[in-house]
Parts: sequence; C-alpha cells; structure tokens
Amino acid sequence: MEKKFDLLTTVEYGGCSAKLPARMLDAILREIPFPRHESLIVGTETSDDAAVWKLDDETAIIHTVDFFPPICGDPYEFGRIAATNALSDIFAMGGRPLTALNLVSFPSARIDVAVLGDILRGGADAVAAAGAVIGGGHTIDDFPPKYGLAVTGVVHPDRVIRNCAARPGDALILTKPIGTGTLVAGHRIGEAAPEHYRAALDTMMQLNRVAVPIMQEHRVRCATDITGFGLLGHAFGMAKGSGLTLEIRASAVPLLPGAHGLTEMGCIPGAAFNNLKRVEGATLFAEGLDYNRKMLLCDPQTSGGLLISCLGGAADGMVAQLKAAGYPHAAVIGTVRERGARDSLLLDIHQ
Amino acid sequence: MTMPTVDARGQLCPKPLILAKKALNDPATGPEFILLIDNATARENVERFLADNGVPFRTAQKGNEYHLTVSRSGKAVTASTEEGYCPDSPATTTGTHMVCITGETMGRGDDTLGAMLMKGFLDTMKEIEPLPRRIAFYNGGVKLTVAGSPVLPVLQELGSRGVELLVCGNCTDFYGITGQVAVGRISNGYEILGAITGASKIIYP
Repeated sequence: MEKKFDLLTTVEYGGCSAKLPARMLDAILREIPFPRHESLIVGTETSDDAAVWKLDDETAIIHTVDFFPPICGDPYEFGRIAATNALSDIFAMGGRPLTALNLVSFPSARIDVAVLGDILRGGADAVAAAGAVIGGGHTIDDFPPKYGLAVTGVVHPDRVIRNCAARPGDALILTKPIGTGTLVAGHRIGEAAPEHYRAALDTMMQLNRVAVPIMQEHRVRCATDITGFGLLGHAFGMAKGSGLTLEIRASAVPLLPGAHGLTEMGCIPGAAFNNLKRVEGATLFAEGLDYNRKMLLCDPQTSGGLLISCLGGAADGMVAQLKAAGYPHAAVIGTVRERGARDSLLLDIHQ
Repeated sequence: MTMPTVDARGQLCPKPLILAKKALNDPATGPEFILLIDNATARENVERFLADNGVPFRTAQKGNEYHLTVSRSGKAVTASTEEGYCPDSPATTTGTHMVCITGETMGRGDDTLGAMLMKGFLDTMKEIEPLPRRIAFYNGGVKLTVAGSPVLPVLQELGSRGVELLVCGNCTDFYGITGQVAVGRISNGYEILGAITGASKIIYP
C-alpha cells in the first residue's frame, strides 16, 4: 500500500492553536468601526460564535467561517475535523446549517493534489452528516495547506443561543472531554499512546449537532463551543458577556484518556500558557489545585464540545439525554453566580 | 566538576519543557543543571512553568541562546496522578510571610529618598533568609514591575529564587501599563486577598 502523505510535516502549530493571540486581535479590532444594524441581532460586540441576521419574525440567518492548518496527519481526517469545527459555530448558536462553502489553501507544486481530494472528501462527509450541502468554494495556491468552511444556517430569532446570556443559578454542562491540544502535541513528539490519540481524533470528528435539539427542548439560552482559547478562555467570554461569575469544579471536567499523563510529563502546548495569561487577571484558582489539571483547563481545543449554561434543575436530565445521544463524557462542571458591580472576578475555579 | 547540561536547542514546544521536567524529577541530575534553549517562546513557557512550581532558576542570554541554571534544591515539582493530588510541602527556600508593596516609594516625605529606600529595601531583602513566600504589588506599586523599573533586576532575581510575585491587574489596567509588566504575573484582588489572609506575617515597607 502506498504511504499516505503526513500533513503534520507542513506545520508547527495546527488546528485552533494557530489562532492569533486574543489580546493582539482585541487591540486591533478596537480601532475599527463596525456600524450596527437593527437586523444584525448578534454582531461583533460579544465575541460570539457566529453572526445572526434577523430576516423576519420566523427566521434568522447564521453566518460563520473557520479554517486552519493541519491538526493531524491524515488528509481525510483533517478535512473532516476542520469541517466539523466550522459547522460547530452554527450548532453553538442553536441553529441548523443549510449550505457550506469550502475554503482552501493548497500548495499544488509541493503536495500531490490527490491529498487535496482526500481533505475535501472528509469535509464533504462532515457537511453531509450535519444535514447541510456544499454550494461551492474558493482555493488559493499557498503553503502550508489550510482548510475550513464558511457556513450559513438558520434559527428561529427567539431561539438564538448566545454566549452571553447565562443567568445566576444556572448549571454549566460540558459535552465533550478536554485535551485535544495536548494529545496532538504529544502525538507529534511520539509520546501519545496510539489509542489515546485515536480517541482525540474521534472526538474532534464528532459533530455537536445532536446536542442542539436537546438544548432547544430545555429552552437553553446560553452556550458556546470550546475551541482555541480553551475551556477557561471560552468560559471567560461567557462570564464577561453575561456580567456574572462562573464557578467551575476542575475535578468534574471530563478529560480525554492520556491527556493528564502527557501534561504530567511536561507536554503542555504553548497556546495553553497564552490562554492562561489571558484569563488569570480575573480568575481565582483554588489553593493546591493540581497544576496539570489547571493547564488542561487552558488546553487549546480543536472542534471541542459545547459549554452549556442551563437551568440548575434541568442539568441532570440534560446530561442523561446527552450521554444517550452519543456524548458519554457529558458532565455538569459548575454553576453560575451573581457578580457585584465592583467585583472583577469572572472565573472561580475549585478543586 | 561540570554541571549537567540538558540541550533543548532546536526543539519546538513542548519538548524543552518535557526535557526540563524530566531532569528536575531525576535524582541523578544533581543539585543543579543547565538547560539550553534557542527559542524565545519555549524560554518564556519553561520559565513560567518553573516559576509556577516554585523551582528556583536564573537565565543568562548568550547571543540567540538562553542558558537557564535550574536548581533542584527547592521543593519537588508536581507529581500528581489523575486519581488524587497532594499539595506540595512548603518550599525550603522561602518562608511563610509576605510583602505588600503599595507604592513606588518607601515611607512618606521626599520621593527621591523614598525611591532610594525602596531599592535598598528590596536589595537587602534578597540577602535575608528566609525570603518571603510572595510579594504583592498594588496601586502605585505595580509601576515597579514594568520594563525600565530601577528595581526590575532584583525583582527578577527574587522571582527566580521562588518568590511568587503577584501584580494587581486592575491596577496595571488603571495606569495603562498591563502590556509593560516585565516580572511576576498579573493577578486579581481575590488571589491577593487570599494570600494576605493566609500569610504568617505581612510586611508593608
């Protein structure tokens, strides 16, 4: 059998670890005026997962785009993960994807074009599994390769799920385990066990789609998907946007098998340190908290799960439904509490 | 006798950190070792890891390379499992007291004298064992932690010897100097208050 091209040879940082540092981006975006429009019901103000445009009282359109350099060696799996990650923003807003456009950078002179075929096939399979169709795309001759989607979806305007609408007393649910950044880094240096790396790839290829009807059934108003800024980075955005404090029990956060062992070895992706720096000015870590667990809470995720803020009383039932729907690691990881006007604490991390 | 050397040059993150931790946890390494790094990001992350875990170290820059002399004499680095975690025993190099620095100068009266006194206070502190466990900087005190501060070298040395330096983030935001903080780490009122509450003694220079 012909040896497959290893996409990881083309990049130092892949997946959502390749994001620009948030602080740098925030500073630039502050300088640029983004005029508002009454129909744009979710725009740039709250760093939400996607933009939402209200067409009429029954329909709002969701727009999102996401692409990145290779996160794994196998071209088909890279395509599938990148597309799953891009579609995730539609699901995080509570919506249904309709159409997707391929975004491709590919160095035609350096890599056999059959590799591109495998990437696009992976993407197409993810889009089909999401219930959407590919309507076209755009390609650039460029190195290293990058792939992703621009996706259009729909949602009822009253059923938009935002990242800034948590309420005091809510419970926090995480649908997928943490640790993809650590396992990919561990794989690249030959330290991750093959079965642990496999589990990380499988979780990145799993769509957040079936969590949407469960959220809508329970009238969830607030959720976000966990990607490059890590669990704490995205929880930070939720706390800030909602004007509340999120309490997270570190020991309750589900981890991918092997992730803790790699962290203990010192295998901590550089982006985890950036994510920690971004949140620690407004985060209290419990005295004696396991350092490895603290760093895993900051681990950059690619195509991560959903962080859902739901009514406290609904949490256990929702977790049971999520487990039955194919997210066996879904768990309640914390709660949401009031924050005083002069209180600057966004995240309160317990053991 | 030459000091053992761990060569992490040419290695991308997180390999230098893995090599550092391996050497720290290996009794055969001896009391100190030198870690060679040629990548600024790797250096920053390894230093952060060592500081977070109370491991004393000092860094010398030689051209494009960083030579970190890392001490194994302090407390053991995290050895935790997924099942449980025991907090480390207190560091042997630092005491249980803390210092709160609330302004750029020491005492009231003439500010030129006050600045000299502050520098003298910090320079003397590093000679007296045990060192404080933590130093918190708030209000005008945060200005001492930025690039160009006259006490930056002594603060860097204290940090590298295991003293945790907590810089009030609201204060650096207020003065517009958050991006210029060059030593310690940005902290918050909760952590600083928790540290004050847990300290055996508090020194206000």
